[in-house]
Amino acid sequence: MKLWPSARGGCCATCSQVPKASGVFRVALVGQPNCGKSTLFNAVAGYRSATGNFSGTTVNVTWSRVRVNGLQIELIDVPGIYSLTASSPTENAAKEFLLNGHADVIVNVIDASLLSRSLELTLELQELGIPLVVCLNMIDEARHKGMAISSEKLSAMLDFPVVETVASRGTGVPELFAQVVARRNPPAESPLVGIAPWNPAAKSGSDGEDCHPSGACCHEAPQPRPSGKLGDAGSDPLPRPALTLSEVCGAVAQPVAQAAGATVALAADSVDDAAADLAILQDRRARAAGFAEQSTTMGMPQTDFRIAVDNLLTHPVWGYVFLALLLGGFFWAVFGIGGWLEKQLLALMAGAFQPMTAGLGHQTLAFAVVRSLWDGFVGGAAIVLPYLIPFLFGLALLEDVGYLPRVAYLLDGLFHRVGLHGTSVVPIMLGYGCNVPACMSTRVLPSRRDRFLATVLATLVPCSARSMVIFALAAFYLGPMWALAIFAFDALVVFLSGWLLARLWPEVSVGMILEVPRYQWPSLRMTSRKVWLRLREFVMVSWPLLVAGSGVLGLAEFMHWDRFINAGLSPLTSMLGLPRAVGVTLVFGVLRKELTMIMLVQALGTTNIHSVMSAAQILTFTVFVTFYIPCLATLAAMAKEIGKKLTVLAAAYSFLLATVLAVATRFLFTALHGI
Amino acid sequence: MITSTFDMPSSQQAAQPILVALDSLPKSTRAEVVELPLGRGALHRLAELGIFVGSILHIERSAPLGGPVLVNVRGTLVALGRGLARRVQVRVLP
Repeated sequence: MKLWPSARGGCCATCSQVPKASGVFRVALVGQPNCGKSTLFNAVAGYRSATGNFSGTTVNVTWSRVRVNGLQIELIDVPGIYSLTASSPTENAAKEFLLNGHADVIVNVIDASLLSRSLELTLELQELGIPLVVCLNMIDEARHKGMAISSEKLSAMLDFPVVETVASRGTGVPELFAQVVARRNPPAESPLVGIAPWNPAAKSGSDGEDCHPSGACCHEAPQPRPSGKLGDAGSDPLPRPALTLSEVCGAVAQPVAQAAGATVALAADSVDDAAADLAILQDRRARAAGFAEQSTTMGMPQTDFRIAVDNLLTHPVWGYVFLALLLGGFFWAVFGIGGWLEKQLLALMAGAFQPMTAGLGHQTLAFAVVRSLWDGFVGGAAIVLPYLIPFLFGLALLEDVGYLPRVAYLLDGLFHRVGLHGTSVVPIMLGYGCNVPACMSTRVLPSRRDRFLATVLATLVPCSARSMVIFALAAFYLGPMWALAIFAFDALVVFLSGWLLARLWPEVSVGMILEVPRYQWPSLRMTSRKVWLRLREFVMVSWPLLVAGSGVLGLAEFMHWDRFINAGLSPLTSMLGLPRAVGVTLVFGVLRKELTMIMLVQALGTTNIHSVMSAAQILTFTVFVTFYIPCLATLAAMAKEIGKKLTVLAAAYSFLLATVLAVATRFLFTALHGI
Repeated sequence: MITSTFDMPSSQQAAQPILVALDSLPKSTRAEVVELPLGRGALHRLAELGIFVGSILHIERSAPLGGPVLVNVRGTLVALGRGLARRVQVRVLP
């Protein structure tokens, strides 16, 4: 299998339409949350779609071009859906894609150990009339539970191919794609009421990688077939009452409703749709249960040590003890490994600097530029990477094992007290890695208010970049207890901010409904690839930026331009009691948070910060950087999720919070230590 | 078909089942869902996970501090917020 070097998200901020070049064979991976779609996607396309053991890891439609048996395939990873009735924006994206995106073949990925429930979606997908291949994934899990599933029987009953796989190990994947290729030549017929196939001709010869040139994107209403009306179900060749009314009316029919408006509205009015929904669901459930029962022979389940583990990890007392120990252990491990490496690397690189600049005079422009570029490089290699690698690795392990939903379970009660949804624990935990995916993961929350709260709180969590600043400044110069105190203090601020915001925007929360997945033994290969996916972001984007930013600052200093910025920011820096030269680093920090650290080194002209800043100043600076304005990438993600206005408000809030807390730190620390 | 109360054999129907709130049950109890007075969105999400009127739940445990109730339904573990669990009316099974 050869792959093309492209994996992308949806074409624009608000839609999930994947533009299709005509003649491309499109295969969509569809299934219920956490059944391993992304794992399968990665097994074929290389690691491009982030995976994790919790519902809603994938919130965007991701695609990649791969070559299977000489045939070019556009493989699409669709966010998980329980059914075609969407109740969150993530699921809406998936549904919209399925109904408008025109996949040539759907690979319905099923968690074999949850066969009956998963088949409900299969039956629903069958009604779409797109060729299906069922991928009976995690078949090892099913065997573990004592389920012997006959894929032949299942295939005969469903009337389409069923292939057994273990995507995490790649077992059965070639057989699966052989079946997919065999299912080519789809019928041109559009199966759904009144929705014509999307016409590629409507999109003039663009490169197939951008939004539709009209700018109308997928929001453009598809033209209804002249004959297509909701009432036309009689002419539909499908033997079953297709989708429930709400499935059709919910999101699909929005564009149709504009065109065929009255028909849909009338139909919705005339039927007691809630009852009809339920009846269709019940019918589908009964059929799914029947299929599952007939194809499965139950044997003795093997003893599962995971139950004992879970008894401990979700225990009313030990669960919390373990959570505290785990987070504490994680912290010490990152600090221990990172701190040791930082010392070694700094010493090593300091030695390399002298001979490199031997020929340059000390007051020349060339020296200033080389030194600042070198500082940027050293900052990335010796200050950021030593902490970033163990940090990302630990976080990836926690995600892959399936511990995050347990944290949500343990903390929901506490969160509810402040008026938050327990499910918002997941975005907040993800925020420690990077705030951008954290903001995106709030899409799994059902209400707009909950999404807003979770987004704001997630951005107050120190992401890996800000954690690096905490480790490399507070822990390195003041001692690990100070860093731990900042993390704990941050958690408290997040909690109190949640309490405050929940009161400013009161709403009765629906209550948590969260699937808690089985623990999965993490595969070292998958976890490392995931760490690399995230690390690549640093190496390819942030690190060059650090070097370039450091160079720009060095140049600016040589020309004495930086004093304008520093003078402009002097009210802030003097209020915080920081050296004036720090001002410019805070501006760079809005671009990328790692820059504050590196720029500090550059601005102060030394890698030994403590020689020019007092303990109080280091602490104040760290607190300010931990809270102030999210980085540009996060701001963009926030604007996408909660809108520009709320983003500006949230940024203003974080700036205010940072200033107040940093000033408080300054005076408290000085008062206590008398420095 | 929609409410299982009416599907029961007549002998059982005569003796009204004693309904209790899901969150009041101790761990390791089995119970059948009898009433779900919830909004449509919540009903649908629950149904997708396999929780509907007539489904049988095994209560695994509840979190302290008014935390969620963890139930096992057909092999799927689902955490239900306490407020929601309080509204789910169930009949305890032996």
